[in-house]
Amino acid sequence: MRKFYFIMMLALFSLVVFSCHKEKKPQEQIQKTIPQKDTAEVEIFYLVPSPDDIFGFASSPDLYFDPSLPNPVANAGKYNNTRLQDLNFGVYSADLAYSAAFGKREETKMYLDVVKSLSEKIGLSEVFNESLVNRINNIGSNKDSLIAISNDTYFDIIRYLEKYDRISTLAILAAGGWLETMYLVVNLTHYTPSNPTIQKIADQKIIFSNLYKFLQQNITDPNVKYVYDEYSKLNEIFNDFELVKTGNQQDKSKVKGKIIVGSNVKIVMNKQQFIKLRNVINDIRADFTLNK
Amino acid sequence: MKKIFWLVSIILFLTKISYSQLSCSNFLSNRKAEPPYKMSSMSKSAVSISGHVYKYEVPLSADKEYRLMFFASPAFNNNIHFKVIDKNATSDPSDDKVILDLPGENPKTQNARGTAALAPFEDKDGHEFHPYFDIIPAHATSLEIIIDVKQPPAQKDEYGNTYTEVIKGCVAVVILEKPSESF
Repeated sequence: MRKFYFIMMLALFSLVVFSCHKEKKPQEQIQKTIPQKDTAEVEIFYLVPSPDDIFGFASSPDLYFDPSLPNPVANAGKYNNTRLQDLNFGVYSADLAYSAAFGKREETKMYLDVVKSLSEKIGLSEVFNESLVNRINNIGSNKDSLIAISNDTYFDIIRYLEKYDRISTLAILAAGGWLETMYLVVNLTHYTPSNPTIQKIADQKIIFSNLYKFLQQNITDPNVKYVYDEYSKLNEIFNDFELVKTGNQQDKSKVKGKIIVGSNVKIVMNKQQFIKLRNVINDIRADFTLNK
Repeated sequence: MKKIFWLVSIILFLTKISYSQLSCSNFLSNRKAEPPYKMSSMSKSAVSISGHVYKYEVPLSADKEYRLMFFASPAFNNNIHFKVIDKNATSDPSDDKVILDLPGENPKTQNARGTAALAPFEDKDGHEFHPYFDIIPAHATSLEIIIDVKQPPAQKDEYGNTYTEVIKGCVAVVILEKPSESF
């Protein structure tokens, strides 16, 4: 009888292993149904770039690494509810991207560790598999590899949350990451109309708009609702930015075979709007990170 | 031994259920960017169903160049319509501009049941490439990518009843990016 159960267990195990391999291919199903409606259902995805993607403008000459700006790792222990943990997971992901963008090895390692530790609290520890942990433990000081590990970690987290349909968590995490990125940039930059970083901050109106709609889409979640309500203050500021029609002025001969977009309208932010934006970002960030 | 058998059976059954819930994430993670491009975190794959329309709102920064690629499960047989609109930062629809309008089916791929969704092309050395579209924002803007997964034509069964196949598969919008060189 023991032999029978042993063989049955082996058979069952083989069945599961083989079916798991099969599932690695994308799912496809074809069902036959009676058509019920003529109009197509529409689903909208609002995409938000990662802090790493936004820190593309770390190359701006007036930006530098200020160790006093990122959220201290010691604060991680204070985040004792899901909303704070999700938000600050995003905040620390941005601090990680900031450290990596400026090639700060020790800080990058420190923020990777805090992101990993928070991931356990919010059920994302599976993302930190053996391969990623080994990469973190053997992290070098090359700036490109620091950026790559920061980028890959965020990418894996997004894919994991999408895979398990944790869209509210994703929205809060993206909101936290975007806020910290903006916090760092607005506190490193001084306003002059010709400063390219100021233009990049103004351009965040478009990314923010997507983020705001993404939060709105998931507003039934009370934690998302809280963040959405806070962000409505930022929405008011961004809505006041002027849109200036520029016409098609670009030299298209330089970009043969490529499609030029966004050539008609430029977003303009004045000094008062910049100061107001910075103040509101600082207030919301203090609330989210408990740095009051 | 009997208890262990049932315990192991339950664990394996639960494992099997969780694996069955796999979405389309593998459909995206298999794609790699080649330098100088890197994969944008905005790349997305999603479970898609025939007869549904999917809209992807994509913010673009002026300091980057982007490469867009589309992939779809073979089950859709390339019966997908792709449209890309430049929303141009305004909420005025008259400022919108259609920059791509691509029916998925074409003579080269309609019978291939590949994952191309759009016809591959060859360079002068005969190397085949998955089609891509290079986008350069002059100013920050937003693209709306509309993916219309077409319903297959209705068919009749052996009793004369009309039915339609509902196809479920994956569609991926792959977004690559690199620092801008052009402006």
